[in-house]
Amino acid sequence: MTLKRNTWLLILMASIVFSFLFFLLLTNNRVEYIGKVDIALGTRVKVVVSADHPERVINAILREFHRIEDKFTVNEKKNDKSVISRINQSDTYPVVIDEETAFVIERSLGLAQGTNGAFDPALGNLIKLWGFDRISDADFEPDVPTQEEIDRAVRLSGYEHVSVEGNKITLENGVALDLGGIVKGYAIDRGVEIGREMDTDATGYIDAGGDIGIIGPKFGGDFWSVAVRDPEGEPDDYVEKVFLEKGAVVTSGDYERTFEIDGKRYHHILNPKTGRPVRKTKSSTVIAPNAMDADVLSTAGFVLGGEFASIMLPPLGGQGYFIGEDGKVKTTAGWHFFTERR
Amino acid sequence: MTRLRLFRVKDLLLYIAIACVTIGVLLTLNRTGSDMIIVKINKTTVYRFSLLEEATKTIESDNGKLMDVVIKDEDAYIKNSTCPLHLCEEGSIAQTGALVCVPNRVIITYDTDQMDYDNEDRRGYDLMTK
Repeated sequence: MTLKRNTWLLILMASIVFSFLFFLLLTNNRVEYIGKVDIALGTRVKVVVSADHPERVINAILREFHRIEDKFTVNEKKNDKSVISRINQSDTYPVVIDEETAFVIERSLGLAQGTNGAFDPALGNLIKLWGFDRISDADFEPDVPTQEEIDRAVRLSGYEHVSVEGNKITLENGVALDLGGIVKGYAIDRGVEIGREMDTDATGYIDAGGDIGIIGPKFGGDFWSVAVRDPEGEPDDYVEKVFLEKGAVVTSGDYERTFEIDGKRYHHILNPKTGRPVRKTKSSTVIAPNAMDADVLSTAGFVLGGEFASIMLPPLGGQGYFIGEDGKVKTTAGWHFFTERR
Repeated sequence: MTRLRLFRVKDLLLYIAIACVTIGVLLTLNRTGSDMIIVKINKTTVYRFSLLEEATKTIESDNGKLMDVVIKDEDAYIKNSTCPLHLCEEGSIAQTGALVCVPNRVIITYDTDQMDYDNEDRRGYDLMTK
């Protein structure tokens, strides 16, 4: 059979156009993600979203981060609107607080109790003494306090001196609040909530300095693979990988927010009992249903060390992976549930 | 009846042209990265650099020099930052997806909104907790 040359040409072009349209169809079926990076709560915040109007969702999430930063971050030089500064600097107690503040503080006190004080939201004096509240400032000058100063700040610390009754909070014994160990997690949870409220089909994640909350599964049905950074390696080296389609994962490491003086490195996770940076852990990673709990429990796990943390954290809702000072790894019994795609 | 002659030179050239255009369009559509990076200071885009040209660029604000951005091998990293802890000098944009200096309020990203979200094949994971 012979066909006219033009007919063959037509068939060929039609095939190309068909292939092209088929490719477009395939591409359109893939979920497309839009992302934005910003600075909030003293860290890098990356929001990656797929939704009908992803930019609106991302901007709303970032606005919430900045609102929470203004409201809860203690930085006397930069931020005098903070409700935490108002509580800390009050001459008389109780101080009347709003519902949201009461919620965050009550949750932090509950987890402080649950972790036997390994996480403590009332270390404001210690954190201020070491300067970790100003570590993200351009003019931060690191300094190591004297033992006498540390002992005094330890005496003026402790969650047991904080009480919340309804909309009133009382601080005793000269303690000061610092919610730095919980508020990033809270902001992630609020961001996830906002994303889902604005678009029930929204998927993606929020990554605030390596603390991660999942808005929804990858492509709407797959797991996000999350690497756990190697504390000894390069920034993209990892020691473990977990798979999440919901919930949150947070890591506390001795390589973040550090300064070095006379060849000795000091990091921001303080032992509430000694008032000094914890030395027995290199990193503590916790998966929890929400980022607020994961945030707190990763700090607690870091302070407790793998041996204790692997037993104490699961009843509080966290599964963890802990690397000790000697490089030895300890995990909770349920951790391996997340290390495979199910 | 005319006998089919598929491979006349003119036709062949036409086929090749159509194929090239199609491949070009497909590759463009399939692309999510960028050869350009943008530097934002306090949320304002101040610089835009090509990753294809090796160079060391100085980033300045009204208050003077903030840092150098070294562009090499289609990658970029920060050097000589004026921030106190130099945390922003850790890693490159290919490793971390974005370079951020919190004290200097500098964000360096690829010049695209389309995020490199599906990274499993390239680096073994989508995102990193740290």
